[in-house]
Amino acid sequence: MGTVDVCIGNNLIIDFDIFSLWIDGFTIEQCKTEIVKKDLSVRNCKETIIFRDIMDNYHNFNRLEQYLQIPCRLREQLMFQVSEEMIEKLVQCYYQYNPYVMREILNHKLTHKQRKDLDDIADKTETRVRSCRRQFDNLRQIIRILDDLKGPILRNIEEYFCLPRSLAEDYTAIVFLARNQFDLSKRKLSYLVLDDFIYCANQMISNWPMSNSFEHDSDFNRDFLLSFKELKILSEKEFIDEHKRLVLHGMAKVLNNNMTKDCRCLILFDELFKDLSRSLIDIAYSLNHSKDMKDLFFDLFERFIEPCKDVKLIRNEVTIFLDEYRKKAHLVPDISKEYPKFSHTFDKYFTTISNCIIQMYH
Amino acid sequence: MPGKIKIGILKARNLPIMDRSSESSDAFVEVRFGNDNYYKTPVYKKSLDPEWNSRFFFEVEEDEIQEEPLQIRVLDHDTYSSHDAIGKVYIDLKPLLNPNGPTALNGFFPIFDTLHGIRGDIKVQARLEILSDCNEYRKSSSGVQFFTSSRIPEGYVLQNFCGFVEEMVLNDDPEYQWIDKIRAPRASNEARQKLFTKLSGEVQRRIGLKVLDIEANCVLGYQQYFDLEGEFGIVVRGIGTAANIIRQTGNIKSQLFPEISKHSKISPNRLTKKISSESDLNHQNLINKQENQNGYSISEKMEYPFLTLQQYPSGFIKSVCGIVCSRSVKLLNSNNEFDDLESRDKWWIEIRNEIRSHMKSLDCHVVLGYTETKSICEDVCVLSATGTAALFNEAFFANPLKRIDENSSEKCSICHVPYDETELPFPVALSKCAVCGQGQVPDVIFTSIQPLPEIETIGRGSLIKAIVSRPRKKSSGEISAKMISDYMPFMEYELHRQLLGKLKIKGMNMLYGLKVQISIGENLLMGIAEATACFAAPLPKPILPKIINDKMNREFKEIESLKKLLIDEMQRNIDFYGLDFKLSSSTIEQTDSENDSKALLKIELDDYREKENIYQLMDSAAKKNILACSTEYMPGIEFNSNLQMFTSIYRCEAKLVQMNIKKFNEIFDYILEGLNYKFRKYKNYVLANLSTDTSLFDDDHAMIILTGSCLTYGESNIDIKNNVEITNLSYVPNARIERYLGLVNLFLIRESTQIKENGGLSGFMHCFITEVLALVRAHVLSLDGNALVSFKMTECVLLDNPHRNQGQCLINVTGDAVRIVK
Repeated sequence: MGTVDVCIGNNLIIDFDIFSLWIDGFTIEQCKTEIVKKDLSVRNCKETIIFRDIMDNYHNFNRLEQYLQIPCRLREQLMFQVSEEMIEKLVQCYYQYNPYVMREILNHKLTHKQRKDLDDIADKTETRVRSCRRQFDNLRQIIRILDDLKGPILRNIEEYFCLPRSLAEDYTAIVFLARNQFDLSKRKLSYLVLDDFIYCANQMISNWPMSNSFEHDSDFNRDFLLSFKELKILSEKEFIDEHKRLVLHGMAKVLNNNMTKDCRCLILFDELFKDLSRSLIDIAYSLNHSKDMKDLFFDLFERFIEPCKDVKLIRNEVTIFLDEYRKKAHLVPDISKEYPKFSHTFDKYFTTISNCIIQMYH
Repeated sequence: MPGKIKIGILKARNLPIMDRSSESSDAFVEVRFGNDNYYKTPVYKKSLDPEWNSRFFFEVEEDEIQEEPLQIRVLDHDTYSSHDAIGKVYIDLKPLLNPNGPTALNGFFPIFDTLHGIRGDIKVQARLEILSDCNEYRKSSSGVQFFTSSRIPEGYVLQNFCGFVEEMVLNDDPEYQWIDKIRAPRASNEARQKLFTKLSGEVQRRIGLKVLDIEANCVLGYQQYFDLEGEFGIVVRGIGTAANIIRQTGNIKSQLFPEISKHSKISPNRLTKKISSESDLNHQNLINKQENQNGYSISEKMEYPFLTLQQYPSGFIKSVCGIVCSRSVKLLNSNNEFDDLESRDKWWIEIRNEIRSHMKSLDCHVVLGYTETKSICEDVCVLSATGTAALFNEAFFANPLKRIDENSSEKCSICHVPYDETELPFPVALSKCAVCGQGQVPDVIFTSIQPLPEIETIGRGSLIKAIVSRPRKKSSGEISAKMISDYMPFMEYELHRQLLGKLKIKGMNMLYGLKVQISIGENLLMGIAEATACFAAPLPKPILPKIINDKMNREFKEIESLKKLLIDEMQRNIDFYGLDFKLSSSTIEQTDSENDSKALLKIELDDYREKENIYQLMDSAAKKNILACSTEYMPGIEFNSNLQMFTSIYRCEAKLVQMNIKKFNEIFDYILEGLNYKFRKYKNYVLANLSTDTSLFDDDHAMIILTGSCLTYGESNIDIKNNVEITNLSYVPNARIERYLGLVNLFLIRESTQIKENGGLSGFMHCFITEVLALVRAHVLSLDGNALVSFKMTECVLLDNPHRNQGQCLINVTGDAVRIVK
């Protein structure tokens, strides 16, 4: 093997097998083993030749990385001759994340210290540290760039990072979670996977109005959160009993196939109703405190999901309950007299929250 | 004549962070042209994407534009300390002088720093307004178009060839000046880049003057060389073919070339120096022999009837004869009565005269595919000149309408020998032409030109290479020069023996594009020859090499097994290349006739080394199914699309004395296999126009650069979407060149003190070549082009110091910027 052994072409030709291994943090040697394992046709080639080809690719990737970190630069850079399709493919691969790793990254604040402690995450998720670092840096980079930009997150991500729609949507949710510093690290929440949180975040982003001042795009509109305070009336004594009656009545109508099971369900909800209802309203009430907002997922779990799980309610039953709970709230007599916009505010709040709960209920 | 350059420095993007605290830069731009013109833009504060939108103009002389590049320097403003350099851009404005060329230059140029590489891009515009100069004694030679492509440019019609033009300038190399000991590396590198760019401009300007003098309008097949002679200085040489061409208009009928009655004017250049009486005599002879040519002949008009082109319009060549070559070993520091430039001039004149006399002894009157090269090691240099001796059709220019029917009638006549059977210039076996049965043909023809479409070939072509290496004693000066020159004939002989042997075993009989490179190392001499071999129909079928066994003690069985091996190998080659003839037993047996004995390749088995040689002759390419050639076209294959141009660089660290032919062959096979692996996803491809450049450094490392193009054939057109196509071919397969936009000639130096951190020397070189290609593309785009043809890396020197973690590389690339239509 020579001290210089390179081959350079005018068009950037990328071996995407090697690219994905590079992204996953394989060293050249490991990459070679992997390629030989995967591609039967290369078996009779000399190892040094395969090694050299991988090295050429790695040289390109190492140079490309600076542009991949700011993908909109990739379009205008003159260093490499890359086609539009290639750019899309490269960026998509580069910003691909491992949900388990991302879940772990979101457990902590995105600080410089955490970047150094990625080894733990790597061990836990059985991923290479380099891969973890890339995913961490990507997220931090996206957040950093977005900080300087105005306008909706999704549009900015699509524009500046040239990501395909679905990936951009996921990142929007992840950025949202990270920016609002939702606490996902509680032990009790550890059964939840990244997709659960992405779903919940997307529910909130699409249903709840965001702050009008563009500076903090991922912040909720404060007035909107304050309006949740008014929902408190639902847990006042004069309304809660009526609400409970309506809900249980409604549930009985819907549940009518398996007598013994349904009876048990109705009895359980009868017992739990006041606590659950109060919890849901309390959560709404406290959302305007940023501390409580951070603990949203934990609160939902501890105050609603856990009690239901303890008595072995199944997901379907909870779904029916939440559905009835929402529908019947509008029918509680005289409630809109007390608070005229009740229906509207309650729906805004509860559709989102019930969707989140259902997603988290597994 | 004064002219005006209107320049716009518009904006930059993606600048590096120069100020850590604010994570931005305060950039401004200095623009220089020549000694007197200077402009500075305001500082654009705190931005990595500054916008200056400065527009201004310089008043310049025409000859300045030919020599001076526009220098753009981007800096970071510092209030308290000196400004930090971000990088520079050199822009050659020569293409704007060309009346047919682009009128303005506009685009993003990568900002290049010799220590950091490309750091962002800057958008520059330039437009030239000039009054043309009609003064006879002018210094400028604008309007003469230069083409590096070694053929008649696409879309043009050749009117006539006017002569061989050459020019040479000598200067001190800034790297070896005393001041270099005290200045920073960046300043030194930039001084070199600037000087070399300027010198190459000067060479072109001077050649241009000569061209105008002999009333030509362009230089075709322009070759430029940088001879880095170290402490002896730097020589920039240019050679080319002056010619008159006109753009092809709607109808193909071309005008008659203007009759040139007057002799060329006396000018202060060296072209019209004395013509020796001997050559005059030869002229007489020539005229006597070819009475029907009515006095007009290229060879008469030109002092040196050498043409640097490798492809000629059909009907131009009457007959090709063979390679003529001349070499000479010189000492750089020889203190003779002439000054340095003059002595170097004399050396080349000697060589050219020798080539001319070789040509004449072959009864030829023109040398085609002519090149001049120089290899240097310390104070010894080897000058070489090669070309293909040939005859051309005198009627070609006189009667353009006749061209077409003429070449259709006698296709095989190009192969016929021009000399009489009774007066052979050297011992050669002649036989009747296999196509017409009339003319006499030799058994093999070696040429340095591209494959001639007129000569019918059978089957596919193949790359052939021969390597000779030989250790030499460490010495210097006179002794060293003598040793090298003593060995030179043996080397030449050995290279040809190998070529001939390999050619026969391949079952072929013709070589195109033969290129021989001599490299001298401190203790090693090396020669590499490469060519495209093919089977030309008019020439006789090759016969199996004969094994002669002088000593009776060698076992008969061993000889037989060797013979069988050879036959098997030959049969395999015939099948692989589709040569479509049978190795009949008669051809194998019949070896005793008088005629054959000359044509035959004899392998004498005197010792075991010879046996080694037999194995060496059997190339491995056929076994590995690699199709390769050293020419732009592959006989027997029509290319579809250009997949990729590649540059492969390999440097090995080894005691060079221990490097033998076998080891070098292994390296080449390794490089080829590596390329084969890279393109394994494509089914039908050819590695075309392969060209190797070998340099030996000190006594412990050798660098081999292999450039080529990967072309596909017989496949549906693979469309590679790119902005700028760069190819080392003079054409783009499946595309038409619409317009030639000018010569791109970049001289770049890159240095690094962090070799280990950036992927070692490999990483360094990979990065630099990528940057060079990026710069080339930017220059092509700024001229409104979309391709660069005839790309050539004429110089690539890598120096390193592993202890200091340092590396320096110097590269010169040239090519023709063009606009193509697919």
